[in-house]
Amino acid sequence: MSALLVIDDLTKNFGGLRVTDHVCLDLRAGEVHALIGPNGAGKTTLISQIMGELAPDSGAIHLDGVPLGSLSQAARVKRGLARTFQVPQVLGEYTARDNVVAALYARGASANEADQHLARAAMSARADVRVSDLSHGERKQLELAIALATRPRMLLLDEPMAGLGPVESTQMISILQGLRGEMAMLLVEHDMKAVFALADRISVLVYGAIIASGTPQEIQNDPRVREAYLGTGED
Amino acid sequence: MRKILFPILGLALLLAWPFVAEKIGSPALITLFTRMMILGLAASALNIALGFGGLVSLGHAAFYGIGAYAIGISTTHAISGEPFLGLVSGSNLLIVNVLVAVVVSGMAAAIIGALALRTSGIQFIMITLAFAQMVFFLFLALKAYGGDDGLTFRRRNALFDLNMRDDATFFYVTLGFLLVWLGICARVLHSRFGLLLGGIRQNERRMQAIGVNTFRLKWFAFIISGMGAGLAGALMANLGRFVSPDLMHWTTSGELLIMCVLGGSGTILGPVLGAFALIGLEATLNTWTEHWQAILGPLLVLMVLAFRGGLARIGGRKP
Repeated sequence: MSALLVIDDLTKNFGGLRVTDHVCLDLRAGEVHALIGPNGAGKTTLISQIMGELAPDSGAIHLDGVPLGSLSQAARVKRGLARTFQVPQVLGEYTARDNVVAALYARGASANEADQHLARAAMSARADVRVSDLSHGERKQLELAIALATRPRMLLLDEPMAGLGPVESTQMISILQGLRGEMAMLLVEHDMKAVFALADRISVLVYGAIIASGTPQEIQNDPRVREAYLGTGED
Repeated sequence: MRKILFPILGLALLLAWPFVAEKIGSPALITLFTRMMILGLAASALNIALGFGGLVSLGHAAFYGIGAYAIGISTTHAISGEPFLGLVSGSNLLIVNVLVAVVVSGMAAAIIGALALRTSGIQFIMITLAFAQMVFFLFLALKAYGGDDGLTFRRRNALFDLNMRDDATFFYVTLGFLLVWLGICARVLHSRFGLLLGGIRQNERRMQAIGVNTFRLKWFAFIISGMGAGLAGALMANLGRFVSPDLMHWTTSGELLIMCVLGGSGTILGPVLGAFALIGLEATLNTWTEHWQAILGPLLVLMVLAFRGGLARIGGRKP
């Protein structure tokens, strides 16, 4: 598989704190690439830089060979990038359907498409419910439907399982399994069950730097990863 | 049913109002209600930015005043026969002058909005206030057009063969403009643009994440809003046949904000109801006592607390 998104030597500092430390990452078309690491490792900051919400201090990001450097967030979305948020960012006064319709309008598409995106996120039954009346799990699913409505080639998922119960997590994993192959996904996640169920490859970010990349099996057996993040299992 | 019943009753009342006012021997009430409708239109224009777009502007008096001065300057040049800046002759036709007022105030909103919308929150409020005060002082210093004395013109602008001297006729002309404007507001609210603008008001970060150029949409909303305020200024100039820098004083911007909040920002009819309530209270209280403002202030606080969401949302309605 060819690389769809290439992150090359990306660095970002907040004052004296280095949050992205010479990160290099290749994300291939159609693959699910999980990015794991402890809290504060800089995973969300990396997503924000890919989307153009934050500007890196140095380094480059290419999508399909095109440098994203000076492109606005809107231009990046048009080129096929989409994201979800750890804390759902939804439009509370609108219905679930109108949230998706807004994404369709932003793309210049017809509102008629909304139902198919809601269905893919298992939200059809809640389409006409006002978002302020949805549960946390439903808002997470709605975020996914909104992102799908932008027709992404690369979906950046920021902790989609955060705050979900076991049943909701299982449902979210099943939804994401259903999207596998249609688009590349960068999955930032702490839930290792979800990571090992979904990821084709895993990268481990610690203190802003990638310390290991490989298949789930390779990562599980990597002593540096076990020490820094997964634990040795000896306690 | 209730959703359309109240607006229809309100419209019927307005259509009958000049006859009622004449019948009860108070023709001055026709002018009072015309003023209410004009300020309702101005508040409704502010509502496009405030209620639909979440942009708390304290500078809309500038666009209102610019619209009024466009009428005053054009009419003055039409009467004197001297071209404006030696280039363009003035006009005494209402349609022409209203178009000029709307375009000029829209241009002013485009310039001010392009700069002010780079800020948000309290900075946006302060920068719009600062621009409006700059415009206020500019017209205060403009001696060629009356300076702080303002401009007076003898006749209202002409519209077809209507007798525009007649207050009842001007009342109906104003009602026509108000209805057209409210129709535009309803179209905006229920359009793609309206849905995206409402999204920006609720969560700008979400809208950016789906690829919306939020600056551009807010800018368009600010321009449409400024154009509406200019239209209201044009009508107010014709009502009194007088314009002065007082029209663009910051207290006018404050009054328009109060009308929106009182009536229900984000609704179509709320700002108009707010204008009727505020001007009606002012007119009633100042016949009782010269210290009417001391009563009006607490009364407004009580009304805002009692009718959370505004008068237009009483009973859960959102006309």
